[in-house]
Amino acid sequence: MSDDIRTLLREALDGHDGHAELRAVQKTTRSISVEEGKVEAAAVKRKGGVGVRVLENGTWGFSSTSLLEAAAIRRALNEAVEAARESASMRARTVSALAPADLAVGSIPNPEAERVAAIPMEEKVALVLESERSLRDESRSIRSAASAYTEIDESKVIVTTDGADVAFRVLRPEFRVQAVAEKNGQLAVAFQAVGVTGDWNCLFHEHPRSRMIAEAGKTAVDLLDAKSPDGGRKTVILAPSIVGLLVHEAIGHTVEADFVQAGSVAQGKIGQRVASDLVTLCDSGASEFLMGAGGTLPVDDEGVVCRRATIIRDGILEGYLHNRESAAKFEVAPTGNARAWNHSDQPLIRMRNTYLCPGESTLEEMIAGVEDGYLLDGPRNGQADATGEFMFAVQTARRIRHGRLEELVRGATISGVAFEVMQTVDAISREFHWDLGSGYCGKGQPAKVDAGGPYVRCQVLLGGLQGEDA
Amino acid sequence: MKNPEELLRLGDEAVEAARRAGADEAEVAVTFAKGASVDFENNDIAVAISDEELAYGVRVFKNGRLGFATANDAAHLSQTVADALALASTSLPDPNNGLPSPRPVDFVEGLDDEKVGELTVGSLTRHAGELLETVRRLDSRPSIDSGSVGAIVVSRAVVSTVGVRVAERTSRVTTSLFGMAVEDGRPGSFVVQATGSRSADHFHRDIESCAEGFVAKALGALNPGKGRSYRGVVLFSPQAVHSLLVSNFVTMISSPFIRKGRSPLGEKLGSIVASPLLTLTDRPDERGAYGASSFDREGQPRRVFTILDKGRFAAIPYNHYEARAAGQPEGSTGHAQGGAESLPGVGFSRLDLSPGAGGFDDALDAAGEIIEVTRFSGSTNAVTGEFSGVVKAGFLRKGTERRPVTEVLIAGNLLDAYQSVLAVSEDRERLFGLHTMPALLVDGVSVTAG
Repeated sequence: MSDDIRTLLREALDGHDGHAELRAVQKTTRSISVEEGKVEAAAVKRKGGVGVRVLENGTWGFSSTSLLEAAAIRRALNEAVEAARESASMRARTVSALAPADLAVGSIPNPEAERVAAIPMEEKVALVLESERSLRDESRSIRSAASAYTEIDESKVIVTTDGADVAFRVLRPEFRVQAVAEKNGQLAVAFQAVGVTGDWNCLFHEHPRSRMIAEAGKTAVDLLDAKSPDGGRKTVILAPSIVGLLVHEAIGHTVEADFVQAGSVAQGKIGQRVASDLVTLCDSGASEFLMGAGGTLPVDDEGVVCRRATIIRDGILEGYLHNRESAAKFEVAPTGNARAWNHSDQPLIRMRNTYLCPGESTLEEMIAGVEDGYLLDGPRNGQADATGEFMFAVQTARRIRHGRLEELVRGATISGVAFEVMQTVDAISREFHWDLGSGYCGKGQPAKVDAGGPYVRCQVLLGGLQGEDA
Repeated sequence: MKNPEELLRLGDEAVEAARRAGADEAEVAVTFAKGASVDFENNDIAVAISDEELAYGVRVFKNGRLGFATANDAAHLSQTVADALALASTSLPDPNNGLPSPRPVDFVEGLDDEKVGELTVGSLTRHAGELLETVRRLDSRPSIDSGSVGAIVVSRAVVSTVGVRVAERTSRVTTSLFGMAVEDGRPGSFVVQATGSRSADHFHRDIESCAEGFVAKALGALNPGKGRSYRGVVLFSPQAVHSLLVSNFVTMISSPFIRKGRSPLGEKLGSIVASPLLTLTDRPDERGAYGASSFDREGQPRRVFTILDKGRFAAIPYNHYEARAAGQPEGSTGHAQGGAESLPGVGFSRLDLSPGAGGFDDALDAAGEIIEVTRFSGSTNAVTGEFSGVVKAGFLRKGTERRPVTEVLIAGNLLDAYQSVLAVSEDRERLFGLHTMPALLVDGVSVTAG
């Protein structure tokens, strides 16, 4: 988006009395999906406009327009002011102040986005077609295969009455493959996915495409012969992908300041021990340790420069994730966690890249220290609760007996209460990976986030079968 | 406000532009939504929103190749048509690609209440205050993390080069609450409650219903204890019946899933695949009903559709593409699903699982001490039927006595579960204003307690 848009937004705010934020967004999503050698979908979606948020009489008002025109923006501004005024009388606690913040100014260049957007669509379609074909060729047991590529190319301009005035562009490509294997009428499914903030070198740097295809095919075939685990409380080693899901779903959401104020399990626990002293947990707008984390963001949707927020330091709860309103209530600096999906969405407190810091162990040492347990990798999905209780489904669980990796099991799910599980952590690896970049966090509106960490050894409740099938 | 006639004109303009640009066939779906809402956060009003948005999607076919593009500004129409045609040139030909011919549409009555469009942020704020106050009056322990009351009027149209040209205006009022109860500083599980109606006259009723449901669920999840491990009978609430059992069943019998060779029920049409106690029907054409509509994403008429008839897999839903791919001479069943910004998929709008004919309470008593699943949070695999996950806000139940439990996981296979239904409740619940579900007693489920 050009400097012209910044000028347009500045002019629309000229003379406005009170706090207002204008956010011009142009989002182009290109997606291709292929199954069985057929292009199931090929789409270009363009969505753009200006979101307007005002603080009037201590109450927020919001409106938006899809038109990048001065008259339409001013009309949306008036509607937002009117909405705030009409609802102010019923609001019990008005917003008395917003926390001072490091507000972004200037244009942030992004040459990586230019490079990916310039790749012809034909080349992207060919990549997805070839990937699906290669996956089908991995094994005769592969009954069906699918491959998909999506890129979200987003440009934003944010101008506020108190000084934010910034333009930036973020591009997030994603790639995924899925295999369904069959043997004697039994089916098994496996997938591999990666999503980053950056270009294709970044996308396939940690996850080479050929390796993803081979792993999806092999896992689906191997799962055909796998049995279900026996349920109960177990010692497990969580791979970075599962650690990422755990810290995002089961801890990250409970420390979002809006959840905290509503009564999440993290309320009132600042300064208390909530994890083993091996555990340090952060959320950052930057891609720490390795490049390309999928939730990387220079500036949040209130125009605040994103900074690293330390949530747990050496096992002690240190802080929450904030927007400017909650930061003022808690008398801390905003962390740059206010995010909105489209121009027509209002900013909410959301995570960015959430991670557990690496430790001192090797994975081999951690496995050797397990008498009876499992190595868990590949999240299939997961949810968590205000209590910190979580449930994650796992793609592959490998049994550990007497310090050695043994057979694969299928259909494993794990559960526990996050702060209790974190207290049982007794080893953390040096090896670190981002591994949640292909996912979307849902909280009324989607958000691209990433999460990850090292391998972590702890105790969880493993779901499995009871009785004769166990 | 863009009314249905204006949307039809925009659709006409777009299909003509696509034809001029070289498309063999083109279809344009357009929606225009105008509404307002008041959102909650932390037991208070957080923000008032007044909004409107246009969206349209252009689907073109050129030499049997598909291209699709969307935008939200009518000024970008030419660019969007060009995007769709450019994509078609990169795609592969498919003999099943194409558009359905027009069919007569019987318009469902009562889907648009003019009073909904007259609701202002001010009046919605008063409804929001009523919802907050009702929750507080019922009990002080529930805490509202988020939620909203809203009113929206949506016009939509579908126009194509093969003669489809239909439009409709609908209205809806909605309430939703998300949060948990907190007692002595200890939170219970998250609970969610939502309602939807077509008429502004139902707002007060919906507010009462939303508040009462939210409070009851939130309080029920407080102070949970331990469950027990066993393999046997589990009671699924209407919400769990829908989210676990029914939603996966409709995935298994959807035509794309069957075409791709993923469905374990792909070869079972006409066979008994579930207990004879189960009959599942889609009812998209109920007068005045939330979720009802007159035509699908491709402009084809919707109608009552029985999916499961006393345990027999009765019919497969199709959109136009899937019907051709399956060699169905009758074509689409009116189940093209999705909005203007997505390609037509296949799905249902208002599912109805028939109530039981009696004996549910006796079966519940006979089951002994069992787990009641209020909400299921876990993993399901529609390819294999396997499921495993956590029981949220669940209970350990013996007859009518029950106490809340935590850290309870259930696992099993859905294909077995459909056959192992012991009883169906006579009482049913309307979920989110859409689907109507009874409770089910299901045998053979593995329960693991922490």
